[in-house]
Amino acid sequence: MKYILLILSITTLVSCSVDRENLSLTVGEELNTIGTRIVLIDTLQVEASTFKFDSIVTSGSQRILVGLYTDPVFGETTSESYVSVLPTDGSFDLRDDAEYDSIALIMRYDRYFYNDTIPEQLFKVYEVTDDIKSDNDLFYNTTTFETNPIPIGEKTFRARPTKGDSLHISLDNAYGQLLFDRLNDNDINDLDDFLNLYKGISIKTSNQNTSILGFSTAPESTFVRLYYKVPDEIEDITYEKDFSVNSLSSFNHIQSDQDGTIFNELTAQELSLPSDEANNKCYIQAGTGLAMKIDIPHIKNLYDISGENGVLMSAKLHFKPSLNSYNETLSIKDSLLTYIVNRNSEIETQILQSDGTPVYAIMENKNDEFNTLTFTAPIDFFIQNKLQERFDQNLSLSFYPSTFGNSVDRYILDGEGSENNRKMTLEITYAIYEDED
Amino acid sequence: MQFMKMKTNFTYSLLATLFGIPMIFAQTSSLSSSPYSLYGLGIPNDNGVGIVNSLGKLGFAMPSLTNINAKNPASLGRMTQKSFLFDVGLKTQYETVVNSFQEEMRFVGNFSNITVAFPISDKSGVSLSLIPYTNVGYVLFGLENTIEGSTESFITNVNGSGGLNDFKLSYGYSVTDKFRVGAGGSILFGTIEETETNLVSNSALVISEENYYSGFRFDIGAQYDLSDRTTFGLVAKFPTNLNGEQTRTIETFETETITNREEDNDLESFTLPLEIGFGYFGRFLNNKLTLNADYQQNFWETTDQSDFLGKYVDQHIFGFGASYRINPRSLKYWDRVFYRTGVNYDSGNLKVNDYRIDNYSFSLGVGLPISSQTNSMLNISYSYGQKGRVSNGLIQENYHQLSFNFSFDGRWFIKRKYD
Repeated sequence: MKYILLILSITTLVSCSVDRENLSLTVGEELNTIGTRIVLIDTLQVEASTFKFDSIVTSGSQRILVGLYTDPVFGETTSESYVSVLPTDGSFDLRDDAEYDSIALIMRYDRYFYNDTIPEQLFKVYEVTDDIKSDNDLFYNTTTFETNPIPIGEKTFRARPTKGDSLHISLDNAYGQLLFDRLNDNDINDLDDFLNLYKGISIKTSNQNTSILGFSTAPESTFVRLYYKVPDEIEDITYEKDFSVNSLSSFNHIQSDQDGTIFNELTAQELSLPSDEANNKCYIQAGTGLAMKIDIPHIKNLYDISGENGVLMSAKLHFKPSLNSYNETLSIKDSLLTYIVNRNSEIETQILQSDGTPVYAIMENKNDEFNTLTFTAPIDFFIQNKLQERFDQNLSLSFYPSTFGNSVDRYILDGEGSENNRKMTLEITYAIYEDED
Repeated sequence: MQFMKMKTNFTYSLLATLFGIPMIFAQTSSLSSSPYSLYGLGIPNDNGVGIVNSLGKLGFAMPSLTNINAKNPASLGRMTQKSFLFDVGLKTQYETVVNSFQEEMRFVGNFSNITVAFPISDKSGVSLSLIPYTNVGYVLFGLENTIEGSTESFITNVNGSGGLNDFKLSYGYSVTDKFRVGAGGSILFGTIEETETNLVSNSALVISEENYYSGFRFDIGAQYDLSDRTTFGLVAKFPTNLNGEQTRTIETFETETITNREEDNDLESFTLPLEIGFGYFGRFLNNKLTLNADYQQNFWETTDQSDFLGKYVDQHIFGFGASYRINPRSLKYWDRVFYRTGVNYDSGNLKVNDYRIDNYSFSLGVGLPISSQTNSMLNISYSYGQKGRVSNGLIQENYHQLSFNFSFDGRWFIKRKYD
């Protein structure tokens, strides 16, 4: 009896442990009723356009951006920087018996540059005479403050932005001597005293077409350095007092002279320039606020083919940077951020992945030998949202680079009306399952 | 592949525990691996209780004296007094599935029934059984279909499992010494699950269905002893509707936006037809040889049902069996062993492209006595069968089936007065 049960149990165990799911079980396929269809839809209309943000935040960007360049499409783009400085060591004292020596502004390149750096460039440094302040503590590309019309320093140089160098601009000795005296005579004893007299400096460029250069705002990279000496028995000892960047009250004023360009009429954020009125192209320019907007007007047509039983598997928007629109000095970056904007082109939300990281339009086929460089954006969230909204909320997609507030990167992208292998396309993979009722 | 619902497992375990049998179901698996289980409610289980598996699988006229005849409740009207019959079965099947293009091997094994029967008076007896009624078990792996509007394709894997169970109470009564009647009621219930996984580039759409069916079925039977040697049996199972409810989930995986829908649907009820069976049972050579011949017809056409595969047609089942034992009281073990053989033909209930999916099987079996003092026996049956035919453009299944039925006679527990 016991043995028989044992045998029975073993039989059961053995018979169950055999793997029945080997990899080629397709006999019976002819009997199956799989009604699930997977459909690739690439004929939905996409409408791409360009709009311009009234203003974009440029404070807190960790970058001093100065320069000017002229672009046949985008016009003249200028950036000047407003920088508030504070003593690096937090103290407003100098050593006893100090004597003034000199003063300079030292800025280390952060390797960012746009346009050709070969021509000589001229930077001028001005004293800011307004308090660098705002109601919401943010500063925009459109913000300016008064400066003293006479510069306190200037420098003509050839930029070497990628060599890890710093730019050294000597400042006016009268300005330096005054600062030295005020510190030395204890006219400045605390932050308020200092900020009252030293609102900040502004670095501007001459109006020649050169390049736009980026400098780091890190305290060890960029600072105003006051040199002074203390006499000793044999030889004077030289000391330095550094004033580094307070990045909360520093920003770049970036403007674009778009007279005569196609962006001339983009005078308000809610206006947009459809790609079919702009050589079938749309445009992005960081710093000045030009961004791309995508509408998919007939998205609900998906319901016509699927009814309630459709499932979005993937939605990918593909677009290509226009041929000859970029090069080594007018470079385009890998990733564009994705946003949802309302009918006035105001940002509703940024599209993030479930883990909170941004959804990017990623550059594919980076090997550009065959001009196949393509951005691919997963826009599933937007499509799903559109499909589920009860009333049309007139939401659109917008793309612009993560460097929107601290660079002047620009992109020219082929729109939906471009020739076949260049045009912007939307590929939606949709699953349609059977009704059970 | 989880075959039975927890509910069912629980019922089995409960029964097993109740009867004090330490059964070890370490892992459940499907009783069927047939692609034909895609249609209807699965493959009807033709494995019976006790000895019928090697005797043509029907046996309407056979008695319930030393082992349970679950095919006819009337047989319970004449049980050996003070007996307590218990039957538990296991089945394993190895099969080759062939279509016009390829051949695949499949293997399944599982428990096939648990039944008890005992007399409640001189003239009546009852039985309680839990038998799989239908089995679903199919795996379709790597089906390739085109993504419409592109040259790419997607892969579908389909996995079906589950089945219905028959929990049945039967009663038999002897009207006269020669004439017995019986009746039974079955609760038919179970869940059939189908999971369809569609792999579309790096993401997946999974549609899972749980189809729960339940219903009640009533049956009657009669047995008449024409002589000591000849018995005739008749059974009828009445038509019934099985009601179905479905829970379906639609989920996506590895997609940017997750879809997760669940819906409850009412399924169309499934009609089981009238089934009528007639059987003959004869004893020869001083009861050393028994013969049985049976016929059953299932009137599927009256249900007016069709499946995507084809139309339901009336089903005819024939079974013949012979059993021989040299001498039940011999001291030689092998003289006390039953030797059995049987054939079964089942026309099938579905016509596909004008061809029926019929099923032949041939069986050999032995009944091995466990002790010389009781009727407890281990019945082993081997069947070879064929279902469908490639020559008709159908899927053909060639199967080897081994079933074990442990038929236990509870008198073993009664202390003998004389040793």
